Amino acid sequence: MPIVVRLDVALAQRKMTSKELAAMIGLSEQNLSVLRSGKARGVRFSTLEAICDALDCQPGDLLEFTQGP
Amino acid sequence: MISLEAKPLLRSACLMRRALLLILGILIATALGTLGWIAVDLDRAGLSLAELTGYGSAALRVWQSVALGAILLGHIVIWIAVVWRGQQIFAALLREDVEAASMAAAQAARLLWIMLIWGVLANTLAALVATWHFPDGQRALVISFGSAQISTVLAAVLATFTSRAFVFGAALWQDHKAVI
Repeated sequence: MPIVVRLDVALAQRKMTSKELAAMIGLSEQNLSVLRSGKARGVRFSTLEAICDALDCQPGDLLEFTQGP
Repeated sequence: MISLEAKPLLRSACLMRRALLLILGILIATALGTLGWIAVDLDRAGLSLAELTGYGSAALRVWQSVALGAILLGHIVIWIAVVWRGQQIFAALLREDVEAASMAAAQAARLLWIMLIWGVLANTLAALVATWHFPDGQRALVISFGSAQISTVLAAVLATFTSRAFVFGAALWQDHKAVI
Protein backbone atom coordinates (compact mmCIF):
# COMPACT_ATOMS: atom_id res chain seq x y z
CA MET A 1 0.00 0.00 0.00
CA PRO A 2 1.48 3.42 -0.89
CA ILE A 3 0.53 4.88 2.53
CA VAL A 4 3.14 3.81 5.09
CA VAL A 5 2.46 4.10 8.82
CA ARG A 6 5.53 5.51 10.58
CA LEU A 7 4.29 4.83 14.08
CA ASP A 8 7.29 2.63 14.95
CA VAL A 9 9.68 5.48 14.15
CA ALA A 10 7.62 7.97 16.17
CA LEU A 11 7.55 5.59 19.13
CA ALA A 12 11.30 4.88 18.92
CA GLN A 13 12.10 8.62 18.81
CA ARG A 14 10.12 9.09 22.02
CA LYS A 15 11.45 5.88 23.62
CA MET A 16 7.87 4.76 24.18
CA THR A 17 6.53 1.23 23.85
CA SER A 18 3.39 0.40 21.90
CA LYS A 19 1.92 -1.00 25.12
CA GLU A 20 2.32 2.40 26.81
CA LEU A 21 0.82 4.20 23.82
CA ALA A 22 -2.12 1.77 23.69
CA ALA A 23 -2.81 2.42 27.38
CA MET A 24 -2.55 6.19 26.89
CA ILE A 25 -5.00 6.39 24.00
CA GLY A 26 -7.37 3.61 25.15
CA LEU A 27 -6.75 1.33 22.18
CA SER A 28 -6.16 -2.41 22.43
CA GLU A 29 -2.59 -3.58 21.81
CA GLN A 30 -3.93 -5.88 19.10
CA ASN A 31 -5.48 -2.97 17.20
CA LEU A 32 -2.35 -0.86 17.63
CA SER A 33 -0.30 -3.76 16.28
CA VAL A 34 -2.59 -3.93 13.20
CA LEU A 35 -2.01 -0.20 12.68
CA ARG A 36 1.78 -0.45 13.19
CA SER A 37 2.14 -3.37 10.79
CA GLY A 38 0.29 -1.50 8.04
CA LYS A 39 -2.50 -4.10 7.90
CA ALA A 40 -5.21 -1.58 8.79
CA ARG A 41 -7.53 -0.53 5.94
CA GLY A 42 -8.11 2.88 7.50
CA VAL A 43 -7.50 5.13 10.48
CA ARG A 44 -10.26 7.07 12.23
CA PHE A 45 -9.66 10.78 12.79
CA SER A 46 -10.37 10.18 16.49
CA THR A 47 -7.58 7.53 16.65
CA LEU A 48 -5.19 9.78 14.74
CA GLU A 49 -6.06 12.68 17.03
CA ALA A 50 -5.41 10.57 20.16
CA ILE A 51 -2.05 9.32 18.83
CA CYS A 52 -0.94 12.81 17.78
CA ASP A 53 -1.97 14.12 21.21
CA ALA A 54 -0.08 11.35 23.05
CA LEU A 55 3.07 11.61 20.92
CA ASP A 56 2.86 15.39 20.46
CA CYS A 57 3.21 15.15 16.71
CA GLN A 58 1.37 15.90 13.47
CA PRO A 59 -0.54 13.35 11.34
CA GLY A 60 2.11 13.85 8.67
CA ASP A 61 4.74 12.53 11.11
CA LEU A 62 2.84 9.24 11.31
CA LEU A 63 1.74 8.71 7.71
CA GLU A 64 3.89 8.82 4.62
CA PHE A 65 2.93 8.48 0.98
CA THR A 66 5.28 6.43 -1.20
CA GLN A 67 4.92 5.73 -4.91
CA GLY A 68 3.76 2.15 -5.27
CA PRO A 69 4.75 -0.20 -8.12
CA MET B 1 -24.21 8.26 16.06
CA ILE B 2 -24.82 4.56 15.42
CA SER B 3 -23.49 2.32 18.17
CA LEU B 4 -21.44 -0.63 16.95
CA GLU B 5 -21.49 -2.25 20.39
CA ALA B 6 -22.13 -5.93 19.78
CA LYS B 7 -23.17 -6.99 23.31
CA PRO B 8 -26.98 -6.40 22.98
CA LEU B 9 -26.94 -8.31 19.69
CA LEU B 10 -25.01 -11.18 21.28
CA ARG B 11 -27.46 -11.34 24.20
CA SER B 12 -30.37 -11.60 21.74
CA ALA B 13 -28.46 -14.23 19.73
CA CYS B 14 -27.95 -16.30 22.89
CA LEU B 15 -31.66 -16.10 23.73
CA MET B 16 -32.72 -16.96 20.17
CA ARG B 17 -30.31 -19.91 20.04
CA ARG B 18 -31.73 -21.32 23.26
CA ALA B 19 -35.30 -20.93 21.96
CA LEU B 20 -34.39 -22.69 18.72
CA LEU B 21 -32.59 -25.49 20.58
CA LEU B 22 -35.77 -25.99 22.62
CA ILE B 23 -37.87 -26.15 19.41
CA LEU B 24 -35.27 -28.55 17.96
CA GLY B 25 -35.66 -30.81 20.99
CA ILE B 26 -39.46 -30.76 20.60
CA LEU B 27 -39.15 -31.59 16.89
CA ILE B 28 -36.73 -34.48 17.50
CA ALA B 29 -39.06 -35.82 20.22
CA THR B 30 -42.00 -35.49 17.77
CA ALA B 31 -40.05 -37.39 15.09
CA LEU B 32 -39.13 -40.15 17.54
CA GLY B 33 -42.70 -40.24 18.85
CA THR B 34 -44.04 -40.58 15.30
CA LEU B 35 -41.58 -43.40 14.59
CA GLY B 36 -42.59 -45.13 17.80
CA TRP B 37 -46.30 -44.66 17.03
CA ILE B 38 -45.85 -46.19 13.56
CA ALA B 39 -43.83 -49.09 15.01
CA VAL B 40 -46.27 -49.85 17.84
CA ASP B 41 -49.63 -49.33 16.13
CA LEU B 42 -49.18 -49.07 12.38
CA ASP B 43 -52.87 -49.49 11.51
CA ARG B 44 -54.15 -46.76 13.82
CA ALA B 45 -51.26 -44.44 12.92
CA GLY B 46 -52.00 -44.92 9.21
CA LEU B 47 -55.71 -44.34 9.73
CA SER B 48 -55.10 -41.15 11.74
CA LEU B 49 -52.70 -39.83 9.12
CA ALA B 50 -55.17 -40.70 6.34
CA GLU B 51 -57.89 -38.81 8.23
CA LEU B 52 -55.60 -35.77 8.28
CA THR B 53 -55.64 -35.77 4.48
CA GLY B 54 -59.46 -35.84 4.55
CA TYR B 55 -59.61 -39.33 3.02
CA GLY B 56 -59.76 -41.53 6.11
CA SER B 57 -60.53 -45.18 5.45
CA ALA B 58 -60.34 -48.25 7.66
CA ALA B 59 -59.02 -50.47 4.87
CA LEU B 60 -55.50 -49.06 4.50
CA ARG B 61 -52.77 -51.45 3.41
CA VAL B 62 -49.49 -51.68 5.33
CA TRP B 63 -47.46 -49.88 2.66
CA GLN B 64 -49.97 -47.00 2.69
CA SER B 65 -49.61 -46.52 6.44
CA VAL B 66 -45.82 -46.68 6.15
CA ALA B 67 -45.84 -44.20 3.23
CA LEU B 68 -48.09 -41.76 5.12
CA GLY B 69 -45.76 -42.01 8.13
CA ALA B 70 -42.74 -41.41 5.89
CA ILE B 71 -44.38 -38.29 4.39
CA LEU B 72 -45.03 -36.90 7.88
CA LEU B 73 -41.48 -37.76 8.97
CA GLY B 74 -40.12 -36.08 5.84
CA HIS B 75 -41.93 -32.90 6.86
CA ILE B 76 -40.54 -33.08 10.40
CA VAL B 77 -37.00 -33.75 9.11
CA ILE B 78 -37.14 -30.61 6.92
CA TRP B 79 -38.36 -28.63 9.94
CA ILE B 80 -35.46 -30.04 12.00
CA ALA B 81 -33.01 -29.01 9.25
CA VAL B 82 -34.46 -25.45 9.13
CA VAL B 83 -34.35 -25.02 12.92
CA TRP B 84 -30.84 -26.54 13.04
CA ARG B 85 -29.63 -24.01 10.46
CA GLY B 86 -31.43 -21.27 12.40
CA GLN B 87 -29.59 -22.10 15.61
CA GLN B 88 -26.33 -22.25 13.62
CA ILE B 89 -26.87 -18.60 12.60
CA PHE B 90 -27.02 -17.54 16.24
CA ALA B 91 -24.19 -19.89 17.31
CA ALA B 92 -21.98 -18.27 14.65
CA LEU B 93 -23.02 -14.79 15.81
CA LEU B 94 -22.07 -15.76 19.38
CA ARG B 95 -18.61 -16.71 18.07
CA GLU B 96 -18.64 -13.32 16.25
CA ASP B 97 -18.16 -15.29 13.03
CA VAL B 98 -20.39 -13.18 10.79
CA GLU B 99 -19.32 -15.00 7.64
CA ALA B 100 -20.48 -18.37 9.02
CA ALA B 101 -23.72 -16.74 10.18
CA SER B 102 -24.40 -15.41 6.70
CA MET B 103 -23.74 -18.87 5.19
CA ALA B 104 -26.11 -20.51 7.69
CA ALA B 105 -28.77 -17.87 6.93
CA ALA B 106 -28.44 -18.58 3.19
CA GLN B 107 -28.82 -22.33 3.83
CA ALA B 108 -31.85 -21.73 6.09
CA ALA B 109 -33.45 -19.66 3.32
CA ARG B 110 -32.83 -22.45 0.78
CA LEU B 111 -34.36 -24.99 3.19
CA LEU B 112 -37.47 -22.82 3.59
CA TRP B 113 -37.95 -22.88 -0.20
CA ILE B 114 -37.49 -26.67 -0.11
CA MET B 115 -40.04 -26.82 2.73
CA LEU B 116 -42.53 -24.88 0.58
CA ILE B 117 -42.11 -27.26 -2.36
CA TRP B 118 -42.23 -30.29 -0.07
CA GLY B 119 -45.34 -28.90 1.68
CA VAL B 120 -47.26 -28.77 -1.61
CA LEU B 121 -45.85 -32.13 -2.82
CA ALA B 122 -46.50 -33.85 0.54
CA ASN B 123 -50.20 -32.92 0.43
CA THR B 124 -50.51 -34.28 -3.10
CA LEU B 125 -48.62 -37.47 -2.23
CA ALA B 126 -50.51 -38.01 1.03
CA ALA B 127 -53.92 -37.74 -0.70
CA LEU B 128 -52.76 -40.08 -3.48
CA VAL B 129 -51.42 -42.66 -1.01
CA ALA B 130 -54.50 -42.45 1.26
CA THR B 131 -56.86 -43.06 -1.68
CA TRP B 132 -54.72 -45.58 -3.62
CA HIS B 133 -56.92 -48.53 -2.60
CA PHE B 134 -60.12 -46.72 -3.62
CA PRO B 135 -61.94 -47.99 -6.71
CA ASP B 136 -61.05 -46.47 -10.08
CA GLY B 137 -62.45 -42.98 -10.43
CA GLN B 138 -62.37 -42.31 -6.70
CA ARG B 139 -58.61 -41.84 -6.23
CA ALA B 140 -57.66 -38.28 -5.38
CA LEU B 141 -54.83 -36.08 -6.55
CA VAL B 142 -54.88 -32.85 -4.56
CA ILE B 143 -52.85 -29.70 -5.03
CA SER B 144 -53.43 -27.31 -2.17
CA PHE B 145 -52.03 -23.85 -1.66
CA GLY B 146 -53.37 -22.26 1.49
CA SER B 147 -52.38 -19.97 4.33
CA ALA B 148 -49.65 -22.40 5.52
CA GLN B 149 -47.94 -22.24 2.11
CA ILE B 150 -48.36 -18.45 1.93
CA SER B 151 -46.75 -18.17 5.39
CA THR B 152 -43.86 -20.34 4.20
CA VAL B 153 -43.43 -18.17 1.08
CA LEU B 154 -43.34 -15.07 3.30
CA ALA B 155 -40.81 -16.70 5.66
CA ALA B 156 -38.67 -17.87 2.73
CA VAL B 157 -38.68 -14.43 1.09
CA LEU B 158 -37.75 -12.77 4.39
CA ALA B 159 -35.06 -15.38 5.09
CA THR B 160 -33.60 -14.94 1.59
CA PHE B 161 -33.48 -11.16 2.05
CA THR B 162 -32.03 -11.55 5.56
CA SER B 163 -29.31 -13.90 4.32
CA ARG B 164 -28.30 -11.34 1.68
CA ALA B 165 -28.33 -8.61 4.34
CA PHE B 166 -26.12 -10.87 6.47
CA VAL B 167 -23.59 -11.21 3.62
CA PHE B 168 -23.54 -7.42 3.23
CA GLY B 169 -23.32 -6.99 7.02
CA ALA B 170 -20.42 -9.48 7.20
CA ALA B 171 -18.48 -7.48 4.60
CA LEU B 172 -19.18 -4.24 6.50
CA TRP B 173 -18.16 -5.85 9.79
CA GLN B 174 -14.86 -7.07 8.30
CA ASP B 175 -14.22 -3.59 6.94
CA HIS B 176 -15.15 -2.02 10.27
CA LYS B 177 -12.70 -4.31 12.08
CA ALA B 178 -9.89 -3.28 9.72
CA VAL B 179 -10.39 0.44 10.42
CA ILE B 180 -8.52 1.41 13.60
